[in-house]
Amino acid sequence: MDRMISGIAASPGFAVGEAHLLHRGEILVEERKLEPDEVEAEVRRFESSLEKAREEIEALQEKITNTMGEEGARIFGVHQMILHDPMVVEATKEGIRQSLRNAGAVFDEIMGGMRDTLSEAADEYLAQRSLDIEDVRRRVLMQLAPGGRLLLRDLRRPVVVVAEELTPSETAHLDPEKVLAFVTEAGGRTSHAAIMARSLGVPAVAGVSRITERVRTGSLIAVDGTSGQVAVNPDEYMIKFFESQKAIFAELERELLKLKNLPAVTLDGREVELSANIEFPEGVESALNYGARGIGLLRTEYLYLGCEELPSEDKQYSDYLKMVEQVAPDSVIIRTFDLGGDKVGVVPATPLERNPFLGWRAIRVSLAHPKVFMNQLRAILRTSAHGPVKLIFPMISGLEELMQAKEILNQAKESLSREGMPFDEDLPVGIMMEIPAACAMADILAAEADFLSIGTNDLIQYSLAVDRGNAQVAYLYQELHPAILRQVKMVIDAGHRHGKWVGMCGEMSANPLATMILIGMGLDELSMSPELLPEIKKVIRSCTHAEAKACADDALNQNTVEGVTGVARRYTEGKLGELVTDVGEGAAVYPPLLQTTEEEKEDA
Amino acid sequence: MIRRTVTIKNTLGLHARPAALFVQTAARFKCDVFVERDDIRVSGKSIMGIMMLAAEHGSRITIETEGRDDQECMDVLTALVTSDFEAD
Repeated sequence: MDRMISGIAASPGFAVGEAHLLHRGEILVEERKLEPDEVEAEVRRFESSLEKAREEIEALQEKITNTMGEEGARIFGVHQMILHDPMVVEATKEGIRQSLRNAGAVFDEIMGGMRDTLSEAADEYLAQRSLDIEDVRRRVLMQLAPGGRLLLRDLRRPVVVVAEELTPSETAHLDPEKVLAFVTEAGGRTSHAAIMARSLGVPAVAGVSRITERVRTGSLIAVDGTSGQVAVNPDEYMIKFFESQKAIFAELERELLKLKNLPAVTLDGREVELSANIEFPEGVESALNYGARGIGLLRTEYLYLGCEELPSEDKQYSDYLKMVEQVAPDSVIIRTFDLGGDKVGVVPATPLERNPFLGWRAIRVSLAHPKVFMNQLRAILRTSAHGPVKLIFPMISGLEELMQAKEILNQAKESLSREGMPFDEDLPVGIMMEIPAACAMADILAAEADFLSIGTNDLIQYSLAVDRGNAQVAYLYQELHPAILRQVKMVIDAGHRHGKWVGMCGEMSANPLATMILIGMGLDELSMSPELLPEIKKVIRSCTHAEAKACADDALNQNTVEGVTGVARRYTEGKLGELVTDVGEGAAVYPPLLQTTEEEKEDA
Repeated sequence: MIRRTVTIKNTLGLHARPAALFVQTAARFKCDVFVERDDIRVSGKSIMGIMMLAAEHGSRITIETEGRDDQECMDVLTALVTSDFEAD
């Protein structure tokens, strides 16, 4: 057996299974049986994807000719010829007709086979030419795959997905039945892939260096998402150990779920709203199962990841409505699209940004596309006629943006009134407090907004200047940093001075070490991935508000992360009962022989 | 039917662009064109086929032409292959 490899615990749980290696930009090809009457339509779909690929190449040819001259563009002439070659075109069509399989699967088999043959050529230069075949293969497959993205829903049997990194749109379509766990080289606890893994209840380990070189598709791999460890080719003893950990983990989950229907109220009777962050319609069910009181954050852009274009107002309205009706009488906080950053794929043709998290995203994109924004606002307003809805704007950095957004909201209301469509006139409008500038302006913004919700994932990365997806600096991403506590306190106080409700919808809400500090500072609501709710509820039900207040005061007096963490541990100790002995970082106790030594960690 | 065995002269072998040139040239003729190397036999009018031969510098391929203009086609193709394809 290979030794244990350490990474970042990104989503709790245990899994043992076959690895499925996903290379950067790899396109997972769908494999589908066709009904006889679908065959000709599939052949035509193949032809039109070839045509689109040819057009793309033509455009490239022209561009390169202009910039580099004809010589540079000549290779694209070869690509064009490949797309006209009967060994490719006729063979694929024949394959579709004879094997009754979809175009992507047949084409991939043909091109992949030729690529592999050529890449084995003894002559190195010729072997390199297999890249041309690969290039053409990808180009056509991208045309055939909806949204041009790899589709994790097409996995054929349950596997542990191993990748350099996973984009949100890649994880967006995954079928939780087929994914046992995620292991990635990049990413941290708060990357979107990690958030998604947690909300689906799939274990994940991120930041595992060079894992894609250490594992092959089909290798056995054991994943411990609770303490962030991975074992490649585990031996029998190790597999047994993982299976037993899995059972213990399931038992712990069952214990926590007993709290589901109990209120989140402190021992001295103060209630804290616990709600759920969701990305997909299925999230509602999961939220209700884990006892959420409403949806504290609906990330609307996830509903449409992988779609070729943004949905119409009517489509959005019907999607939102379904969720709102399911959650009523509790409310749903709908966040307008937070596109950009690392969630590409919905708004077409966005220029490549050097620093997307500081770039064109969220409210900035919405304000620049008033029509798209208006559609969404009208859909949300129409939904508000049928159940309790609140609206929240992401990435507000100052008063101007809030006022502009509210102005467009007013136009949306006027247009609906003119058309005689019902909506909630008093739809509450909130702000995501996730940019340090907004926190500094909290008193001004609180006067203009109906409520505030602190988005800690971005707030922390912007405040501490830490890219949460960069494994080299991820250790600096600290929720208990005094600078973060001060900003949170400032926002809560500013909101309450204006009589406004203040919630939190970042991952920090789900950190049991932060719970007492946060409710002690007076936060009205905590919203998080549904499956994390019971644990936080357990902490709330185990303390008094007076205790929490003392904890918060103590924590705010600390000068260092270590100091805050010490205070948090002291107050929280025992609050999770005997279920979790080491709060914060979960830790399975590995037999000494299997533990990674410090040297090995460095080596890794 | 005419068959002729020739040696690849250009230094980088029959890679993508020479293969393209070969196929484009073959396509100008009406006759059937096949190319063989060891036990692989492919259409001389298919770029993928020619590339699959992975015929490096110094390797020997057999060209076969059959049809009305097979003699002319053979002459042009062998001249092409034994030249250095003008440029790589």
